[in-house]
Amino acid sequence: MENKISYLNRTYSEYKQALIEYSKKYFPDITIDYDDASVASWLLDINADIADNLTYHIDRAFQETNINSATEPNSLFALARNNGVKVPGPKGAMAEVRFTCQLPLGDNEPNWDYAPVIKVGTKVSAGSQVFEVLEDIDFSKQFDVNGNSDRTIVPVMDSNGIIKNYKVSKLGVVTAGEMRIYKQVIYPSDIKPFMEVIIPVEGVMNVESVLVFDGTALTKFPTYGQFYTNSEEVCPANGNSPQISRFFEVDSLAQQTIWGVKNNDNKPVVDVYSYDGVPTYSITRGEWKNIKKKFITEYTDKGYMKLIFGCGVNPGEAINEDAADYNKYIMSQVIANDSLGELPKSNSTMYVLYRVGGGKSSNVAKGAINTISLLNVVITGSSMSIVNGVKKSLTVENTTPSVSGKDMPTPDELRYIIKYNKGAQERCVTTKDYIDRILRLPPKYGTPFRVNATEANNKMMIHVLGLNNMGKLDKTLPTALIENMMDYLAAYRMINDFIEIKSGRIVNLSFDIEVAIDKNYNMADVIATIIDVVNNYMDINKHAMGENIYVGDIKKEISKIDGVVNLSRIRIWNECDGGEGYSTDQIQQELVGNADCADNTFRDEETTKPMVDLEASDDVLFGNDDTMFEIKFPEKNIRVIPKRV
Amino acid sequence: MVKQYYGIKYPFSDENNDEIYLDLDETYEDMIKSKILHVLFTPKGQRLRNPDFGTDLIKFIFNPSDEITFDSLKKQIKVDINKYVPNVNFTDISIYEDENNDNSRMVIVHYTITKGNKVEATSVAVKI
Repeated sequence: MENKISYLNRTYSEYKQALIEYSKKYFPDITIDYDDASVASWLLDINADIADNLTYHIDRAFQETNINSATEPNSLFALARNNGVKVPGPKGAMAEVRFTCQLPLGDNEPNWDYAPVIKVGTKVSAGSQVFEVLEDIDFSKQFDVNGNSDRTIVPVMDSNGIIKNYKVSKLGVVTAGEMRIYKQVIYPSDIKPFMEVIIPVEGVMNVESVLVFDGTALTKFPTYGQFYTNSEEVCPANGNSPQISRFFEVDSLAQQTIWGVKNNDNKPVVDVYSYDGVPTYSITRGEWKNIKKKFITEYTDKGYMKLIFGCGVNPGEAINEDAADYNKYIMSQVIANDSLGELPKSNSTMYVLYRVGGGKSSNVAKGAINTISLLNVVITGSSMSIVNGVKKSLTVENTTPSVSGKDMPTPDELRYIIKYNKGAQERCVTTKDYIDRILRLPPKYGTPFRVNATEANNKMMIHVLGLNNMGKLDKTLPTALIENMMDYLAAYRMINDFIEIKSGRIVNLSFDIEVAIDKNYNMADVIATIIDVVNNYMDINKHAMGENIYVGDIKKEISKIDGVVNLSRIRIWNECDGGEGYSTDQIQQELVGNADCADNTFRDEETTKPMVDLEASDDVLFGNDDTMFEIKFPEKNIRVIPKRV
Repeated sequence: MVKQYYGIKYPFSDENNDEIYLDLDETYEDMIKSKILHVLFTPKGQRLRNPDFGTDLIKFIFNPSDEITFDSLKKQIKVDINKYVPNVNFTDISIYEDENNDNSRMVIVHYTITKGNKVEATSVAVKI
């Protein structure tokens, strides 16, 4: 045995044997035996036991460094941090809700002066579960921010059939949980690099905003407007002191820019777009802004949310005023380096707006959300009695069950999140990265309806399609949207990627469906069902850009319909003449005959539209990378030719 | 020539003139004596990883000072010494009162040591 320790020993008996051999070799004159009663054996027992205990703790410590064997929450959290994973907190369930109110008569329509705007922060509830409205719900608009039509108007008539008022419903999205404000006074002793603030409440889902006011004796809480100010310096409500700063959450303190609203003369730049002269949607211009006031959040191993600020300090506080100017400058390069973010000022008051609640218990059934517990509404009409009447008439009901409510991840879930997060990168490398990144552009900046990215001629080709006021595909690309996309992608694209953004292609289709219908069934009902089935299958919301359409699937669905005895034939036409709002884009696959399709046996009018050769394509409509198929007018583009049998 | 010792002396002491931190047993008999005392003064359960090592003398501390107690005490010591100290046969134990101290007793353990084919009778006295 060499004069060194064997690191292969793992157990008490191995250690003791090694120590006895060591003593026999290097101290043979001290003792002649090592049986249990000898004092030397007793002393070696103590050493072997200490070594065994240390080995156990080394094993435990090593176990906690391995993702598969770690059991302590703080070990898993540390592993998550080291792997760049932000541990998610509890998630609030989301549900679609329908707000309904009664509006007075206007000029052949509801009087929109009294249309309520249900503001962010309005609370609705299902028993003890509180949900909050996340975006303003404006009853005066037919569309939501994504361009979807979500308002219905039903006239309410009296016994004589005269319209009394209108029942107007508007859809919105609510999420479980509620906003709360945490206040903390920041004293000079609190200020240190990477200062941490822990919100002493369990179940915090996320931090919305942080405001820091000068002064320590403040009694008023900030307004939501101040919390959501789009700049680091917030104008005080009355235009004078105290000075207010907003801190923004970032993914890492090294992040120097955030995507936010572009301002012009302190006002957001918003482009409004119209169809037929009617303003239908707006796109807010966005830009990357440099920030110094920033923080990151993470959960402690006890489940509390922690805010971590940067390490740059106010030069006036850290650098001695007696120093010479140049020396102050030199010192500021080191001491007041704010690239990782500024610290809040001392002798100030911090207000943290956060969301709490959610969790698995926030998943409730359809219709369970039926109480407005806190109404934050704006109605511009002048008559207070009508305004109060409209407010009183407001009701709410969830049209879908609330889903996706989730507790904090369990240790097992956390292990999987850490393992499978390795590949995720905050940059665009593949075409899929570009698609994913564009779709993460917040809706108010004009997220396109469908986007696809391909590599062509060493360029990244991005094709986008939007929706028009009728909810149909639209190739128009608003300038603001393109500028937003270009600016947004600039921070993520690879340095040598050249990006070109173009409109996608819309291929409008019409269907001729020849079927035999059982004479015992109502023919009109069967035809209506066939039209519904085809329309439903071709619904643009169910397909991605570039996706193939398998006609065999449509045939299968039609054959399943009660009353359909036989599906004889399907013919698909490419409506590409540009008339009636059709697109002029032609389908890129083999056609029957030529563009002046001669086979119009089942068409009432003469047509010049090409018919797709389904036999040549094995019943597949091939979607090119830039193409989406659409049935523009289902009522006339899906024609059923029945035969009674 | 290097002097051969037989083990660490028990109870611990450092009265030697050599450059050795603890006194060592210089003879085989000293070693046996150290081992017997080590067994006698270690209550069972105290030795790491060897809870059976030692004696249960502490359990007799409040027993009546009569023949029954002495008999069971002797039996216990004999078993334990035979178990942990090889080549030694426990023969008897004598207990005397300390004339100078009512609370103290002098215990003399008598035993024999087998060395090859020689058997040597000896004893160790302990004040408790």
